[in-house]
Amino acid sequence: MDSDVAMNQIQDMDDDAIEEFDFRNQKDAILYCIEVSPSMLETINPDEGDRITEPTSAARIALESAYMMLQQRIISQPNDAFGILLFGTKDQTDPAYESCLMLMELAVPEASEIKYIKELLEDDDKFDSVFTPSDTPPSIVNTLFCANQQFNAKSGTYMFQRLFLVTNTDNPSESRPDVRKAARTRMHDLIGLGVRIEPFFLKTERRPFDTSKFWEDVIYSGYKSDDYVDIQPILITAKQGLQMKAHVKARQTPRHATFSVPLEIVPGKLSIGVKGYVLFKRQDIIRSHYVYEQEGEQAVIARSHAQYISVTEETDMTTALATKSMKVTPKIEEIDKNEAKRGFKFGGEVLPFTADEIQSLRTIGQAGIRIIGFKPLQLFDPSYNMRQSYFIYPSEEDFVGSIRTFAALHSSLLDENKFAVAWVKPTIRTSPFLAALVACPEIIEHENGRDEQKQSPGIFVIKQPFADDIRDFPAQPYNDIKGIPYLFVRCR
Amino acid sequence: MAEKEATVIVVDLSPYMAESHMAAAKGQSDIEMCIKYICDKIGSKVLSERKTDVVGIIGVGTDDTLNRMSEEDAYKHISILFQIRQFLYRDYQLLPKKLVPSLKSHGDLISGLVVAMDAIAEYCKHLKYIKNIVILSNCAGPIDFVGVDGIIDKLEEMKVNLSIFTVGADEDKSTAMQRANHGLLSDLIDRVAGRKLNAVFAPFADVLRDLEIPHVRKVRSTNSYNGTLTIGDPNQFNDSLVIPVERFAYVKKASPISSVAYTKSKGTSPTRPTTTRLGRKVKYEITASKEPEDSKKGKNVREVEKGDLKKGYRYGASVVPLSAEEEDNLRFLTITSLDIIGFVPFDTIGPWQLLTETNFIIAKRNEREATLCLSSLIHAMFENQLYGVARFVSKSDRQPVMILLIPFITEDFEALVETQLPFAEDVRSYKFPSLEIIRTIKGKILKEHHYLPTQEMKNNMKDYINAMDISNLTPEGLVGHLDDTDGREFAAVGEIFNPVLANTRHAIMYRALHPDDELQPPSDSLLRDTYPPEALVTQASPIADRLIESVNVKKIAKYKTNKRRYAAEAEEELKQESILNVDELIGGKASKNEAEEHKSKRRRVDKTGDEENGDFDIEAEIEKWQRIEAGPESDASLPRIFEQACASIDMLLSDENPDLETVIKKVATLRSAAIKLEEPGWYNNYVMKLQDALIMGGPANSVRGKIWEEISLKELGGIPVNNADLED
Repeated sequence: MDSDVAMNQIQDMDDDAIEEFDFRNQKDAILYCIEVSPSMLETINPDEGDRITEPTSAARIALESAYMMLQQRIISQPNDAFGILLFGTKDQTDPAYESCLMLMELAVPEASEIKYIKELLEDDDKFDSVFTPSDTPPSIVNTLFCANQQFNAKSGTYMFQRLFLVTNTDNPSESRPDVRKAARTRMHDLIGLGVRIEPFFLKTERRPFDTSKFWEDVIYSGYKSDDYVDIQPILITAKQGLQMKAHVKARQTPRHATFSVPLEIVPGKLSIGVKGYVLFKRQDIIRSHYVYEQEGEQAVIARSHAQYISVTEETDMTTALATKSMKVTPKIEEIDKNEAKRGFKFGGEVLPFTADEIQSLRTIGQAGIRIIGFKPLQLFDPSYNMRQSYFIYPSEEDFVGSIRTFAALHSSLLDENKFAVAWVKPTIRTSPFLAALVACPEIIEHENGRDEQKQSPGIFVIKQPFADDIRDFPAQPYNDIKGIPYLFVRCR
Repeated sequence: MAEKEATVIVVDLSPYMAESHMAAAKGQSDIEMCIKYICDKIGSKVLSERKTDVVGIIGVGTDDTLNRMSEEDAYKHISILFQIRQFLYRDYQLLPKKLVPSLKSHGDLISGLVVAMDAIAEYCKHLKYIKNIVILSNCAGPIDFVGVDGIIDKLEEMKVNLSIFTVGADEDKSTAMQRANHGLLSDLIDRVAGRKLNAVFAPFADVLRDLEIPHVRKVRSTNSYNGTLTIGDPNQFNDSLVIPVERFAYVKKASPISSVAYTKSKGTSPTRPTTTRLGRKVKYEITASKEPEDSKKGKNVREVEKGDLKKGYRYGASVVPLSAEEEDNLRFLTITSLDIIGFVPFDTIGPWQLLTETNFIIAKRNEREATLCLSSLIHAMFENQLYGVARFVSKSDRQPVMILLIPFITEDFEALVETQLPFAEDVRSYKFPSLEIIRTIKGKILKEHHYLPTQEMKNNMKDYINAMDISNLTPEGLVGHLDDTDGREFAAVGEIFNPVLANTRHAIMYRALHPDDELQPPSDSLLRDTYPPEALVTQASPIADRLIESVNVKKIAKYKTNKRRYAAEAEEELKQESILNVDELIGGKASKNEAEEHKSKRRRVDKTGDEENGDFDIEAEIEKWQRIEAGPESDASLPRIFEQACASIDMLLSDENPDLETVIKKVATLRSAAIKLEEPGWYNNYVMKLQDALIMGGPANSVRGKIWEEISLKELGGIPVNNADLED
């Protein structure tokens, strides 16, 4: 049969579909703002005796981090917009925004733009000519306003909008006290626009960064109860440019809830609000496309769409006899979408079902998480793993008191060494499943002068198999042979 | 492949079958009960589409006689209703029509059994088949047991599994005849069972209960890896370990039956199905940038052949075509292998880090030495409480994955269970605030806050968790003692069936027989074990009530707001600002810049001192503005008034001890004003900020928290917006 003709059954939505939705349609916009000032450009020399590391500067590390992120994202998420804004430069893109230089407009990047950033990093002269600080310190208010305009111009296009703010100035309001108020307003405006601010405060051994002087007030005032914002300064040394990159990398995926449902603790009587997140997800090799190349033109992506076809095998024996050949070519006929109906195969026929009926068979019950009961943790068996877990965290949006109740459940599960068995249906359009709710404690480690949260506190929803999903043990002819661990120890 | 199977169902169709003898059937006739069984059993076979799972049906007590022994009187009124065959839809759909009790004819059940044996013998000949005969009857008519001995011998010779299910034959209302027959049939089964054949005798109530248990399709696994497990590189070190192993699926999602696309077949022919399944053909089209020759304006979309296309990748806005050779060069070349890299203690890997369905790694079958060696490794890992971490390539040139190896030991089966671990880029480092402490703006750490549970709440929750322990339930469904050995684990893995699979199967069979009826809702028994056991809930309810009272959770009567929509509105407001002469509006000396600052509630707080009195009567103001002729400017000024009203509330809140009643009153007025103005977004936007300010702004201030609770309770949350707007 013609390889183009796929007789594959058209797959229905199953419970992985919610993620499909997330990752195909999500459009993310990041505006990366780097301060340019004499201190940002100050040479940071490697430790004495370190001959491998090259001298660098905070601004260079920031641009390198941006470039690294750009390189990754342009391949893994080619639909996303990215922009780089320098502030405090001698040049400016628009006279309305003094000292703000758009190194890259906030848009889906072109290959040529990426090349330009690369050139800047490789050519010191070019770098220096762009990264020339203005004579007066930059206005943070003006910068935030400029950023606002960038997002504003394409408001509604992106699902997640974030502003990465790289600065080493811990008190931009030093000279003018009203700056603090204005900065807070700008910050609120950005948050109102749906922009999340990710601060990257840089300090060096010689130049400390005190977040309480200015930024705590400005950044924290706009955040919500379940938000986690890391404003601890990052120490920059010549070698620790890597650390900055790790921070940028860690924050590059926007935190985004996959579902939001009630968690029922006492049947019919006590429910709280929780949001579900996907914390582990295979990053697949990026999808290739079919492209069409024409001479003298840029390659374009070919869009594909499926056409229903009916394949009638001419099994009419009289024809076969007449042509004295059993080799029949199937007759392919294109069928209009409206003529195609759906149903289930049953004994040689297809029984008709409406789309709603098919959907209702798949999605039994209401969206939510219902605790069935609790069990000691030793009864939890990791051998029953089905898929990556979901992480749930409380939200006060629908139920006042959700956070404290969730926290009580969380600490009790940990203290009593138990897990909850639950019936889970993450969204209205997904199939329900059985799951273990396993609490994990918060882990904070102190490193490089910062408290790093290594694990967030919360509860993981681990899908458990149905009876239908468990296979029999494979036959093992020598299952009477029992190994002796000692033997193995000796083997080693 | 599964073994070939032939089943013949002998069903009693004598007039008595139209009566109802079974109490549990609630008035449904005996034949209706039998049809339920037959439709379910045969329906499963139709769904499986197995050509080698064949069925025949023999009616006993039919008006006609249709069998090979019809000459003899004993075989009168026995008809082969369906010759042994693979059942298709057109046969299945006829079942209820064919299985109708006769009005006058009686047949002998034992003769029916003989006809069934004859049919099987004829069909199966000497081929290897699993042979089953099922007899369904209410035993109400006379049965001739003469010659049973010979029949039993023949059953043994043919190796037939015999099941007899009786409908209401041993109940209080059963007749003497039924009881007598029931006893004799039971003896028959015992004697058959004595010949080492599968023989089942059961009342129909049991059979129906059995039907409720969803049918699990057994899948015979084939190995998905056949190679070696190594520790250390055998090419470099001679003390490295190499064990031949195979890999089989353990947990694998059984996917629901997929729906298919079809269309009505053209032309009718009795031998062809009335429906034609549809396939799909993928077509490709491009938007050509050049104007086409015939100079039609606009974009030119045209179809292209797949053969003319190349593979390519997106690089931002650019497209990078890649030839097949180039792509080959990019492939990461690997060699099939399973190399243990190291061992980690059980408690270092959280079960939430596991990514995939699991597989068994077992020693290569038929290799004793490998079995012994792997078993030793499994035991060593188990006793030292260690997981293995390994690099795994299931087939050459597939990308390598990191896997976790879990020692798995049961009485007669040992294996390593394998599941994939995430790579660094698979982990999303989202962060969430602590659930134990609250950090305030100034970095102060709070241990008491309405977000944090009190010791009382924690104690109540612990009591509840222990009261709802379902790991060891007594037969009454209550928490058993630790040393209770006959307790049952409720909702154990492997005991709950996928309701979607069972429901879909059921719906298809139902539709086959009732093409014009609405589908039935899923049966209760399917979801019974997905709720907490009732007895336990009742017993735990005093503890539950204590918990509920202490945590005091209140549902907020508000609809989900769409942040993006409101963000867009905020943007709209911003634009409007520019066309406004704000001085004139507020009557103050504020510059344009400062006017924008009104958007910030905190600013308002700061300004308490130097601005005019915050008492702002929004209703009066709005009225005033509405009186002015409705020019574009007057409309545009409304947001400003609204903001000022918001600001006046903020100002009240800046007080050490805000007056709760006044605040609530003002918020209520604001809300109704927003509804009147048909601008729910303004209010919703504000109330969102207010929520944050009240809950986050001053963490320690419980009065503020109280105000928010009051606002949510009085249903002053966001204004519901037309649902159609919310879905986007």
